[in-house]
Amino acid sequence: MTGRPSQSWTHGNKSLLVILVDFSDLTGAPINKNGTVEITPSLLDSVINDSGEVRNFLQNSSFGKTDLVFDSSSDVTGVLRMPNTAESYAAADATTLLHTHARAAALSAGFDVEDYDRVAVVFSNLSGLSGSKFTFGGRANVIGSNLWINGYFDFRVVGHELGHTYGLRHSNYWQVSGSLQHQCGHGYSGRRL
Amino acid sequence: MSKLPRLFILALFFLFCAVGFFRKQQIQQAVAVGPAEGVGAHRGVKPMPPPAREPDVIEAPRLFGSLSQASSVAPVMEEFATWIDDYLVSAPAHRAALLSRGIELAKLRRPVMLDLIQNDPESALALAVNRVERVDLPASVLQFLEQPVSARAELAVMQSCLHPNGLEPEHTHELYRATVINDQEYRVYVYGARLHDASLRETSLHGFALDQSLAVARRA
Ligand SMILES: [Zn+2]
Ligand SMILES: [Zn+2]
Repeated sequence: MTGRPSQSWTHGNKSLLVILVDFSDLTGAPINKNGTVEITPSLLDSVINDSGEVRNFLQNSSFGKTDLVFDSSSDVTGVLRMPNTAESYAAADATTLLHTHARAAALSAGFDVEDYDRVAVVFSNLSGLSGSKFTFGGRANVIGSNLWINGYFDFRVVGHELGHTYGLRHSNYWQVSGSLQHQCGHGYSGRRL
Repeated sequence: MSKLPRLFILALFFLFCAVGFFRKQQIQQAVAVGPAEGVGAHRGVKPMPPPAREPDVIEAPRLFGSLSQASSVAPVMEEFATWIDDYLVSAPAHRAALLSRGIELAKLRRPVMLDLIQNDPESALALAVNRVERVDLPASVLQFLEQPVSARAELAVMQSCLHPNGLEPEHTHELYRATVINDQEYRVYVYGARLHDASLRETSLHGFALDQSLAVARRA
C-alpha cells in the first residue's frame, strides 16, 4: 500500500462501530462538548444519519461512491470501562493504547470489531485533566480504521476525522507550512476557500 | 450562525476538496483501466483542474534538521563504541575498573540516541548496540541503552487534529506514527519504504526503543 488509498479502501459501503468508553476516574456516558448532554445512541444517530449530516456529507463528497453504514441500535456499544484511568491515557498521550483497550472491551462485549471498516472510540473531553496531552478534538488513522472523538461528537469533528481515514489529509485541502505543528486556520467555515 | 447555511458552506467546502481528491482517484483509475469505467457516473460534473500533486510520502516534516546536530554531538557515540570494544576484550578482572566510565558515557549517549531515533531512525539503528554486544554488558550500563524490540503489531499513521475546545477554526495538526507492544504505546519513527505505508493493522516491527520512542527498520 502506498500513501494513496486503494480504491477498495475508499469505495463502497463502510460500516462504522462506535465504542463508548468511560474510566474509573471519569465514570458514566461520555458527555458532549463539556456540557450536560450525554453522547447517546440517538445523538450518534442524528449526527451521522440525519439529512445533511455526516453520512450525507460522505455520500455527496464522493459522488455516491462511498456510503457510511451505521445503525444506532446495533453498531454502538454500551459504555465500556477502560482498564486504565482517563488521567493515565491522557498524560501519556496514549490514544493508540486506548483504542487497543476499547477494541478488546468491545470484542468481550460481543461485537465483531474486526468486521467493521471504521471503529470510533468516543469519550468525554479529557483535555482538562491534570497533565493531559489529549488536547485534540479528534484523531484518526490516515488511511486506516481508527478514529477518536475527544468529547466533541459533532458534524465537524466526526466528518473531518472520517475524512482522514479515507486518506484525506490536510495537504489535500490546505497549504502545509512545513512545520510539524502547522497552524492552518482554515476552519470549517470555508473562509480559506 | 444558523445551522443550515453553515452546513451548506461546509458541504461546499468539503465538496471542493473532495472533488479534487476523487478526481485524482478517478484519473488514476482511468489510466489503469481505460476511460470506460468510472467516468459515466460523473457525467455533468464539470471537470476540475487537476489538483497540485501531493507528496506520496506520509511523513511529518522534521522539526529540526537533526543530522548536523547529531554529527556535532556524535563523539560520544564513538567514545562509547570504543569503550564497548575495550570492555568486551578485557579480562573479567579488569572490567570493573572500566565500569564507571562506561556508565558515564552511556548516560551522555542516551539523549543523543533518543534524538537520532526521533529524527534519523536509520542512523539510530546503525549505531544501536547490537544484541551480541548486549549479552556481555552489565545491567548498570544496559539500563541507559536503547532496548531491542521485535514484534508483530499495529503501525498506525496518526493525524491529530487539535481543535481547541473542539470548535474553534484556528487549530493545529500533528502527524505521527504509533504502535502498541505489550500494552505499551510507542511513537514510531520510520524511514525508507515505510514512509509510504498507510496505517497497518499488523506488521513486523524490528528496531530499538528508548523510553516510548521506537525506531523501526525497513520492511524485510
Ligand atoms: Zn486544520
Ligand atoms: Zn485533521
